[in-house]
Amino acid sequence: MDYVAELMRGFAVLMQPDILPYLIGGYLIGTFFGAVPGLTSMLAIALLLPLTYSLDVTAALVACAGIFMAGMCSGSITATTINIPGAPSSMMTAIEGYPMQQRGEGAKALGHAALASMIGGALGAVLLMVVAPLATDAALLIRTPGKFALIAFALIVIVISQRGAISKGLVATTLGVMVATVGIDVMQPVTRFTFGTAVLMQGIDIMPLVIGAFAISELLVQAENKSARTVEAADVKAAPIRRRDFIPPWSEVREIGFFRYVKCAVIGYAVGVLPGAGGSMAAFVAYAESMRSSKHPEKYGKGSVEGIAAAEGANNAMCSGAFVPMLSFGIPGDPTTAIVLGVLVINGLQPGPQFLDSQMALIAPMFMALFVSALILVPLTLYLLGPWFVRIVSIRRDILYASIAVIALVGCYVATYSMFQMGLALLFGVLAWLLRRHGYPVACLLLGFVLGPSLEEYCRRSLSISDGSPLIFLTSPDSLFFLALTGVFYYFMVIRKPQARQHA
Amino acid sequence: MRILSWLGSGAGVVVLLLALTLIYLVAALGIAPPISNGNITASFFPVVLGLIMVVALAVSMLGDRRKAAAESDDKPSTEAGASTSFGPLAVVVLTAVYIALFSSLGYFISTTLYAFAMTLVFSAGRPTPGQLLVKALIAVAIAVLGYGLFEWVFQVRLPVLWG
Repeated sequence: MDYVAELMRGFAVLMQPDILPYLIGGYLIGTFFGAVPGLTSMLAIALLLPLTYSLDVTAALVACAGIFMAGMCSGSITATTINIPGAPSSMMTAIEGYPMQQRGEGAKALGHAALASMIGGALGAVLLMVVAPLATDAALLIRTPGKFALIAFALIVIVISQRGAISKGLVATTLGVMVATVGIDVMQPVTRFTFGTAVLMQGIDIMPLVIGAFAISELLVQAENKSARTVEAADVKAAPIRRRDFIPPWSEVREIGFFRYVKCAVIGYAVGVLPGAGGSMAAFVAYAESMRSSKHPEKYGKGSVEGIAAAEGANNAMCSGAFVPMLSFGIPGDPTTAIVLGVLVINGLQPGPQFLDSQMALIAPMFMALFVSALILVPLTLYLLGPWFVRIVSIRRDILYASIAVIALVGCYVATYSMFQMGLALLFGVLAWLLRRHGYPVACLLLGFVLGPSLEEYCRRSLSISDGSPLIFLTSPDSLFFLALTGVFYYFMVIRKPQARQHA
Repeated sequence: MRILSWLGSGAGVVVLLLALTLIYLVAALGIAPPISNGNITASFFPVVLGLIMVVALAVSMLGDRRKAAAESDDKPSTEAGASTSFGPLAVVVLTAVYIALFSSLGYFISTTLYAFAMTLVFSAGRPTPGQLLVKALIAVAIAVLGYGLFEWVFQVRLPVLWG
């Protein structure tokens, strides 16, 4: 009952006039960044990170929840109207939405996308509220060797989920862990890799890495593009949308079926819990399952509303799923939750098994923000801004990227008042740009950086318990469980998959 | 310029990462032996990481070479034919200069100049004198809005020229 009361109190906090504007503001920023091709909600949260130094932690978490949820569904707008997914998670929506737009049913496609996002996002938030305390109880059972095996499992799944680029995923993840080893050792008072530089003794902060890897590298990628606007003026004129067409016909909603909405939300949520999977994979898995179980699979690829509902429901449910491992184990499931973890760490909070019990007052408004943004802000934003959206996202690139550059660098400065941190952000930006150019996943760099210190600490603690014997990882039941789970995932994601392709 | 172009190539990135890893490994071994009196030390984990990195880079490079060989049978290499864009180099140089001058010139002057330069980098084609004036006004607006955001909304102190 206490837990339900805390959630209710969280809702009351969210509705306070000094907190609610952060949800609405965050949602609108996330919608803009999610819809503009080339920008992502992850970049929006990265730009927000330095500002959290001077923000109340509840307000910062609520804003992050709004950005995350908005970023997932707003990509469907440009995906449907001009066949350019605003976010990678809207790829499947473009496949079904754009043929509908060409038939003059673009508004209806957007209505279906918003309805599925609303149901998926709200169900995901409810599942998060139900599952998070259970996951926290389970986390209490895990001892030191098990914690090492769990983090190793997370990192290995992050690497092997990089389809077609596993070795590059391993390079990027290892690089992230290596960067995290700079500074004072996690167990002994010894400095490592500071090369006599006093400013490196405290280690490398998450902030310049996030700003460099996601903001500055994006500037460098976009500097190669010579278009004047983010979306060409001709595309804007060719995509008229009327507000009255947004509401999807009841007959089509019934044809999609309540069970399909729920199934895709559960799939998206489960994919979100897995480390490294993200919105694109959630949308793809739910879309594939929806096509497999459909009575009309022949309609897929030609403007199927079932396909839109599956993809959009799943990617919004994924948002809440990604918070489960982050809050219960301190293991972020994707780069966005890794940055949210950074927000918590900046404010002196460390997620883990005791976190929900001790900090529920801070976390409950964020849970409620996920629920409210899915249930209310998703349909409301589409209804109010939908007809103007393609116009809004077609902006001058010189204004957009000059502004992002200033916010990123000045934000980096105000967070630490350090020119050195600004320089580090530039250095990481160039490095991340080089990695991105050659297909190394930069998200792995961040996740390796975030998980690296815990991996080392638990590894060394376990070995000191066993007097240096690595057999402790096989004799400890929880560790053995996660090692076996790693083997199962490796089998299904790396070994069995190529065989399936060969047979196909 | 050729060195920069090579550094930006796939092989250049691998060599850069390999060089960084070797420096990392040498520095790790300089901290302490990885195992001392049966106990693992502060250098154990970095040494393991360095070795994993070397193996991962080797596998990645072999994969790239195999892929490039397969592609070259079908079509000419895209990397060799890729056009050189000076945009990213300009962003790096301008940002480095901005960081260097941010404290001494103060927020307003340095940010206005930086924002103006960035609007030029992200332009489509050569701007006319009229467009330059518009870009200058945009740069001033960005600096003013940035000042409002940081100084007034978030109440943080920004450097000034004579402060």
